[in-house]
Amino acid sequence: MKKIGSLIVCLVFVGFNVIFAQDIQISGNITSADDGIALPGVSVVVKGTSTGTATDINGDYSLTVPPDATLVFSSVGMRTQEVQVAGQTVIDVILETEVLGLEEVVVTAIGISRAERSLGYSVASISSDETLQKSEPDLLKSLEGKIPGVDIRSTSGAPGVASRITIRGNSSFLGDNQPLFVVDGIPYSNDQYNTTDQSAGGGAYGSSISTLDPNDIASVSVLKGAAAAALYGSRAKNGVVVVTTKSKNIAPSRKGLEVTVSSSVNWENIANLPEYQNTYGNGVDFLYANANGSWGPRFDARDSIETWPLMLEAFPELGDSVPWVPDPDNVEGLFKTGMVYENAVNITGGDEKSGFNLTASTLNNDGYVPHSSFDRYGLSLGGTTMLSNKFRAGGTFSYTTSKQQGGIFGNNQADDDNAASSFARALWLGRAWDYSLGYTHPVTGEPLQHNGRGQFDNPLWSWEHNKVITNMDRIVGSANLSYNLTDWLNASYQIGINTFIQRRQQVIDRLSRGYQGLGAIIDDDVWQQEIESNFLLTFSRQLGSGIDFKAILGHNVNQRTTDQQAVRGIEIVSPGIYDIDNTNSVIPFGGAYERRRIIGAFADVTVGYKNYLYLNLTGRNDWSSTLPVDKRSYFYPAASLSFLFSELLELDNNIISLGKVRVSWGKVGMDADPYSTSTTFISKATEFTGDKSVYKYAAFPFLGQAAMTTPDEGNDPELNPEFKTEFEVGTDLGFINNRIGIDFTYYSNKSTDMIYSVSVPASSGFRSQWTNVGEMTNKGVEIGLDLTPVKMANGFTWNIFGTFTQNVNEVVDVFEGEPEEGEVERTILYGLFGDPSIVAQVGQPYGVFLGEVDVRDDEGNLLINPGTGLLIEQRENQIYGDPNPDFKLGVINTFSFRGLSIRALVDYTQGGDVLCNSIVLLLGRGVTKDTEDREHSFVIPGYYGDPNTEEPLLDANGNKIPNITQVSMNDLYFGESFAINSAGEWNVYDATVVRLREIAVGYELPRKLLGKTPFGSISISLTGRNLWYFAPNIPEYTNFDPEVNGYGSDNTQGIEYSIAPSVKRYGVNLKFTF
Amino acid sequence: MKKIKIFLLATIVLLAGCEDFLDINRSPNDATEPDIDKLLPGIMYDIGDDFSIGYAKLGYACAVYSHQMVTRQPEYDDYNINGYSYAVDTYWEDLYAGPAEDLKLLIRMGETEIDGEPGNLIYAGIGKILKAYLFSMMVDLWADIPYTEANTEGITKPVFDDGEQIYAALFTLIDEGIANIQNTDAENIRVPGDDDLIYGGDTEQWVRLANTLKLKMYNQVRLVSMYSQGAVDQLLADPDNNLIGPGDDFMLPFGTSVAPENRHPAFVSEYGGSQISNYISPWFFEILSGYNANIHTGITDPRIPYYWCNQLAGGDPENPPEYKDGDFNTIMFGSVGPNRDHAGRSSFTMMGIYPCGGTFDDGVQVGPLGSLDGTGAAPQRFITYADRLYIEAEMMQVGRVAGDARAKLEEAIYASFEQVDMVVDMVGPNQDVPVLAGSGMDTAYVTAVLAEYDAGDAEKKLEIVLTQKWISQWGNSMDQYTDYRRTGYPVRFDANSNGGSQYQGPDGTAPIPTQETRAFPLSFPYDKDEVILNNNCTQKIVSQSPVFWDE
Repeated sequence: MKKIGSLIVCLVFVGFNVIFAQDIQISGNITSADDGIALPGVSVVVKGTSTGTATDINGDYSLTVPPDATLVFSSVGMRTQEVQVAGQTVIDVILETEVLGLEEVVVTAIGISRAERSLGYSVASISSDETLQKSEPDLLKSLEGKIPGVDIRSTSGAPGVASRITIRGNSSFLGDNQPLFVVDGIPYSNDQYNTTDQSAGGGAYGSSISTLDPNDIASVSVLKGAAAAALYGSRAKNGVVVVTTKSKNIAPSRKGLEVTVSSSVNWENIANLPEYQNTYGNGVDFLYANANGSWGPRFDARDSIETWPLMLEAFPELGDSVPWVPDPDNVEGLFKTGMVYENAVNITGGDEKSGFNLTASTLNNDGYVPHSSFDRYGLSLGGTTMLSNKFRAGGTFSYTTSKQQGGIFGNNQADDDNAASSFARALWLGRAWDYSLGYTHPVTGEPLQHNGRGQFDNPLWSWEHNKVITNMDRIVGSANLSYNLTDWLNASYQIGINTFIQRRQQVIDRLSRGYQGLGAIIDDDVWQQEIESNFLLTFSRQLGSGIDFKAILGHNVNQRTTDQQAVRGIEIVSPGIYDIDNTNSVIPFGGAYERRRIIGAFADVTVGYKNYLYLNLTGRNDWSSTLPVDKRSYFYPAASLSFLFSELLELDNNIISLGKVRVSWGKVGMDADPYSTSTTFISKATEFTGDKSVYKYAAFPFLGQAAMTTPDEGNDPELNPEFKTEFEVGTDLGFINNRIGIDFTYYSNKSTDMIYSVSVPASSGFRSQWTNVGEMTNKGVEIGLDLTPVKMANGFTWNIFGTFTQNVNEVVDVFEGEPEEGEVERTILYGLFGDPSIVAQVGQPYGVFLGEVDVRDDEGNLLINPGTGLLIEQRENQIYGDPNPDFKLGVINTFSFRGLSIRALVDYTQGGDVLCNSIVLLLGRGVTKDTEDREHSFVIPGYYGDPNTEEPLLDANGNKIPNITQVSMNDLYFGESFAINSAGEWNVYDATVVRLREIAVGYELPRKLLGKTPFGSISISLTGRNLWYFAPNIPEYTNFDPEVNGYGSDNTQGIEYSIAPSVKRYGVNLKFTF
Repeated sequence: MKKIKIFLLATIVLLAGCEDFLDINRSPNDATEPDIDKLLPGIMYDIGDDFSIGYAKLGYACAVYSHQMVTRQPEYDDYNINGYSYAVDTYWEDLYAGPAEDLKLLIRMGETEIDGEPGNLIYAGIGKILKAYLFSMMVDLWADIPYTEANTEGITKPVFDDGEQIYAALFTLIDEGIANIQNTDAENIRVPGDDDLIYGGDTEQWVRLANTLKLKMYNQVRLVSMYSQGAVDQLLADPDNNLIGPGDDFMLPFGTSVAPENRHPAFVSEYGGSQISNYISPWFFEILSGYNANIHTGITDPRIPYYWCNQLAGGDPENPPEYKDGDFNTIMFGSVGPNRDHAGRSSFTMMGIYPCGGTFDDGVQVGPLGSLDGTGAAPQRFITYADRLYIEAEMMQVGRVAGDARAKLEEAIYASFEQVDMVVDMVGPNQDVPVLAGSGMDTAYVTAVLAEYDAGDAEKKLEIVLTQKWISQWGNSMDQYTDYRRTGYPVRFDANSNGGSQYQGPDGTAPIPTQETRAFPLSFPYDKDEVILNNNCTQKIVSQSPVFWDE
């Protein structure tokens, strides 16, 4: 294989080999300092040239070099060494493992690589080994807990569902606050397109970053601050995730062909089934009724019940009565064991001047929810070569196609009866409901429910019939050309076109509760294209003694176009055919066309002094199409300083091996959304879309008449650009030969003039108004700790890698000018149906919950309605929840011994609130052990109050009257109390959770064993994800995982509406090279 | 160096040629100016939709408080209406940001001069009449609301105006609207036709409606100083020319199309829905059945099968019933009984053909009734000819207007029966529905009610007039809520004493425990978002915040 590969490479690239006659032949062997094993694939390059090679399987190399050359030996994860040839012909080298990658090169902007030492700001790098095939098909989820300053949130256990990533908190009212993804210099969209509201019967929608194939990733750098991001322009405001693919990151010095095959199989299960009570069956107040709640009689209190009418109709053989017994496993029986299969082949090859990479991968994830799946197929190709005229040319091409299939989630009550959530009852099935009877009516085909038609679809029927099927395709092509005009001046150009196509079909089948049983199909198609062009001039010179000067001048053009169109067909004509042509009438279902352009010009100057002091200055001016003509040009600068005092003082490596202080300041400007500067009118045929209008039917054309309406959103022709400034200071310290490494950063950022469509009172005629508003700050601390407590001569190592992330966000100002007396400045970010509103309010963190609370007296005691013994909802809303966590902690312990390694990631999230509809329903339906002890009555502590005036009731002596009204547990969780029908404040729980996120046991076969095989290396690992977690403030038996979130990657966080619970996985992964 | 120069030059050229390149910030898919005839149908539809008794709409909440309907949603039951109750939270915003804003634009476009002459003033006049109707109804519901500063460019936080001052402005606005419609100088290049979903562009009908609206509003303020006897006398000088007559009903028709959804909102939510949300009030049921000891005792209303439809047809309900009488099956207001919350999509009594275009009860239907059991094409009534007659009867009864109140009441009840037939005709039912007027049942009923009227004192007579109006208006509940607060009639259900209910619960079991722990709301609370966002708005104690006419 290797020979064939070499042959192909030689045939293709033979023309470019040039050997100089006077050079000498050098050979040698490279081994690892850790275990003495030969290292294949080590790069051997003549310093200052591109001449080089790589070691073969046995760690051997040979190279023809000038006799005065210096050789540079480098390999990923190893400390680079330089050796002067000085007449030697055999040079053997022992490479040491790199602990804290000071010498590592990180990709910062637009393909600009930089030595990490010169960076005055915090950048985190993750190698592909951290993310690849760790029982986690989602790239973002695989980063969880591994990068300080980065908050990643899962959504649900549905295959292919979106995750959310934010860096250093939310910095804007608008947009999704997620970082910009840049893959090989080309921005990747990470938009999440929702077809229907996720609280009201939407799908577990994915976001478009899921089209990025993790198998092709070489490395991921996370640029966290504004200073780091200035060169990417506006969108880098929330940080940048820079991904370098194997197809782009080709080392031309590698010789020959290497094939890597990796393959994994994983099993997945629902992570958190509640513990159910099986003492009481369906009913109310210990009386039997064919009701949803299990508040009925004890199972030992009667022998039988009347057969459920619809079940009897479907299965007459059941007879008139059925035994009164629980079905303890009825919920568990709904789910199955899912599978994840992932396979990838990676082929790299090349010679001294050229290289290519090919990655092909497949992923098949079959979810634990029946009929849910996510499949992805990727093909990436990249090549680079030095042309004979000294142009370096390269290109990449990648194509990914994925298909996500899943059910309908959310809350049935939240929509106009078109919602048909498969989780409406799935986790709180009546304890007496025997789910083995069947779920489809044998005659009519309708879903069978024990308590009659229409309230909800049997989940098993729903998963089979009601589906969201999303196909995403992404095609990215790029070409780059680079030329050294002189030895100190390089010109390069790259253009990339990134096209994303999403086609979605959302089906509510005939006979479902949604759409009056008629069935409906929504086709929702999105086409998105981004063209990115970058031209760079790079100056690089040594000035005088010890001064390095590097400057980049750049020009950038970017165009983004999105075209979305959806239609809805109502009434499926022929059963079982899911095509819009097979519906009775088709009406528009919204869509949007948007095109925006940006032109940018930028400069980046770095001055280095004697390897220990670096100053970096950047500046960028953008011209944006989305701002008013006179305001479309805006400039933003950044500066950073890096000082390596360990180099200056030449400290002893065994005591202080690294000492670096960095400080930076940066500013980023941002433009508006397209078309927010002028008013347009809306056809009422599509007016039903929008958060607040879920009860609006698509009524137009009405009696044949078309209609237009004024928009709900006012526009601002005078919008200014929005700015964010950030200051950060940090240090990187290494002690005792880098056995202890500390990376500490403090940052403080401020967003001003935020462009946002602020909520205005509807009496103004609008619901919201575009304008520049407010000020928001984030202050935080990021700590990375890298400890190696044990490192023994026999190769045993114990490493601890810890991350700490704390971000404090505050909305400082919402509207321009001073607030009027008594005015609370706030805007509504998202209005959920009913309660709460997600708001930005002065003095509060972004995204707090403002909603219903119950009345209390001036001492904080609850006031009790004397008529019911229950609570009284207060007229005025109050803030009752904050989804932002206090801090996050991640600890990775790695034990390695020769080829064996054991690695476990435990992470901990302190605080943050989750509004959890699932807990409300588990408690309110009386199905878990939390509510089992119910055969006595309760008195809610508090004083009687007047529900009209909200004042305490007083006795003849003017004293408050303590509540003595007894209520049942059924009332405690179903009345105006603490669960169903309660004020929103009681539906919020503290989301503190500790979790065994990831565990992996890996073994790499000793290379000596492989000597006579075609394999270069073989490794096998066992991995597990999310195998255990503990959430102390969640009602014990609900086992609810507070990490799930109903809104995917949207800004609305901490809200859960009956979605698929999280998943745990375990599997086997195999990787070999030859 | 030459190469460098070329690169720099290329860069400058790229930068320089960018101005046109960036001038793309105008959406190619959205209109910048609507046509005037595209605004009118949207305004009419929105008012009809928002005022209807479709689930959780404004009329729904009012129907619960006028005790024609029962809900089990805790944000309405037991007079527990809040700023975050869906009806309030949604439709306050819908009305201001929807029809109120569109009306502002419609009036402005209609008044825009054409070649120096008055413009399309018929549109402007219709706009003003609709605006007066809309804001008078909003004052009736919410008392003091933003008016003068509402829907005004540059004002994001409008002040709240006194309801009485708004009413005064609306009387003027109606007169302006009439003058606009009758302005013979106007160019009227565009005149309404089919886009006028209510009157098809008939300007005379609009003028008669405008006068009737004034009469309705004067009747509502008859107890406060704003009342103008002169204005009322003028309106009633020639009532059959000035006011709406048969065929002039002010109402929004609905259609039968499913997609787009042209059917009555309450039909969609009940017959198309998978759960029952609009339960028929036992109080309403008992009064129409002759069970109520206080009023119409022993008189069975022949409109019952048009008003609601039983689903049981002799069968058993799915779950233990709360309130059942024969096939009639429903739940109680303020119930704390164990059976209130059971599912009963197939067994609860549903709204019938008259309120929403559902099923006429011919005694044979078996639930679940679905979207094929009716057409949904019932109109949303705003002010009908029958309503006009009841207003006149009330004013005669209280002595504000001279005339024979008894004769007017008789006329009104007959008009109410004809109104049912008219609705049935519009619905176009897919079942045989008998005609009421002239069937003899109408005469028997009118005779019995008039006998009761004759036997009563003046107060009883007023109660009968308003109770008959209440029965007639079923489905148009916002005025009923107003009438009760103005007059105290019809007597409402008292959940704390079970309201004199004759009924002892299903199968003769003990009475269903009910209670009201909150006082009756004298107006609706403000939208929670208005409170959150507008510092001119303070949430009120609804049981202590009357509308100005309720003093």
